[in-house]
Amino acid sequence: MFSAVVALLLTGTQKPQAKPPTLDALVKKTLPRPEEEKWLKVPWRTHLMRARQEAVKAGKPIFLWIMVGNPQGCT
Amino acid sequence: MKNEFIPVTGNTQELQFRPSPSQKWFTAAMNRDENATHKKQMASSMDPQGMYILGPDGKNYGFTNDHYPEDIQKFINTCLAKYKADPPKPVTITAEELNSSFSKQPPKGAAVVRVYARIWPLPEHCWGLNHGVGRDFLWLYPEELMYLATVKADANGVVKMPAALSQRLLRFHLLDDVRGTPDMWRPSEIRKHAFNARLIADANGERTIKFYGKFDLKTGSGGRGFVGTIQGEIGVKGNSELAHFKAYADGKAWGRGTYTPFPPDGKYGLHIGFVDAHDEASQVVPPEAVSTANNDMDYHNPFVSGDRFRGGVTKRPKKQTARK
Repeated sequence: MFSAVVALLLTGTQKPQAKPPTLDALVKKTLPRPEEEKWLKVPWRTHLMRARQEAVKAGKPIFLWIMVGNPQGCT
Repeated sequence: MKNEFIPVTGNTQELQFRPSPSQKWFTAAMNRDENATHKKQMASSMDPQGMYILGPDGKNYGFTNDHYPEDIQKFINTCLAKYKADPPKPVTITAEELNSSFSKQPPKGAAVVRVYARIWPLPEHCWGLNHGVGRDFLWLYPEELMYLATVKADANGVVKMPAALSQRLLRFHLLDDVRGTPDMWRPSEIRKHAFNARLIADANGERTIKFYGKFDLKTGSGGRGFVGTIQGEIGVKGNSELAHFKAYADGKAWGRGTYTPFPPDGKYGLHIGFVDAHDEASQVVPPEAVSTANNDMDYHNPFVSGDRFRGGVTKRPKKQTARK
């Protein structure tokens, strides 16, 4: 009887276990925040030769940004 | 930037080493640069990465590899003034140039997934780049999608993950690229791994497979590693079309790579998210491992030697000397 009461009391004081985060919630935590993607607001072209043609037509220079890994997708 | 320029991004590996009209044109334009910083950078590392302002005729108005906004603004102003004072000559871009390939694109029928990496919790006083986001793309090949769309599950719903996909995740995507171009794992550095997958839904031509994996990745010396787990869900429809892909990996990482110095001290939390991608960039920017090698041979079949992925650059195999 005593042990049953103790067990009941202990159960009553236990905090409910938090649900584990969903896969969607975990993935979301890794995604870039808007302030981390400001540079993607620039309408970067993805083909240098077509950008050349566009530059001829628009009478504008080409701004070419190259990295080891395309800045639009790789670190 | 939007109004005064035609902005373009590119990959040095492709513009330096992959023969194409873009590579030929860029190399000639780059070599016209009189900029001392560019000459010094090329002399020390043969690395042309940075920002260029070019005329469509190949005239080079300037170069910088400075990432401070004020300096870039000055650079832009100076180059624009040069462009206006000395505009490009008329030039015709040929059909061959326009139709040429600029980058290694995903194979027909492949699906593309974005990969993001973050470090948390961030230790106090760690280097600034540790606060950033690592970015890459994962390719799923058509035969892998076809397999997932048709594989038969056992009575408990258990299916086998495509081996090449598991190996590709392990070698090329479960790594710390938060501070820059990472060293990819060699097959021998996959010390332990186990992937389990289960078919959880199969109706109306669409099926969902959940997977779970454990991994233990370490260099030979143990100086760099990542030990953790991955969980994910792949949805496929029809014969081989990706409906969705989402996955999350986390664990403890440690150590620096060739081009990823100053990680947090000791072991730190590394978290990697995967989500299917459908934007334009995902169709023209290949995974880091593909652009590093300038082909997808090892990426497609990731069971071969990983020596080509050391140091972020393509290394030629040593010449074999015949035994006498």
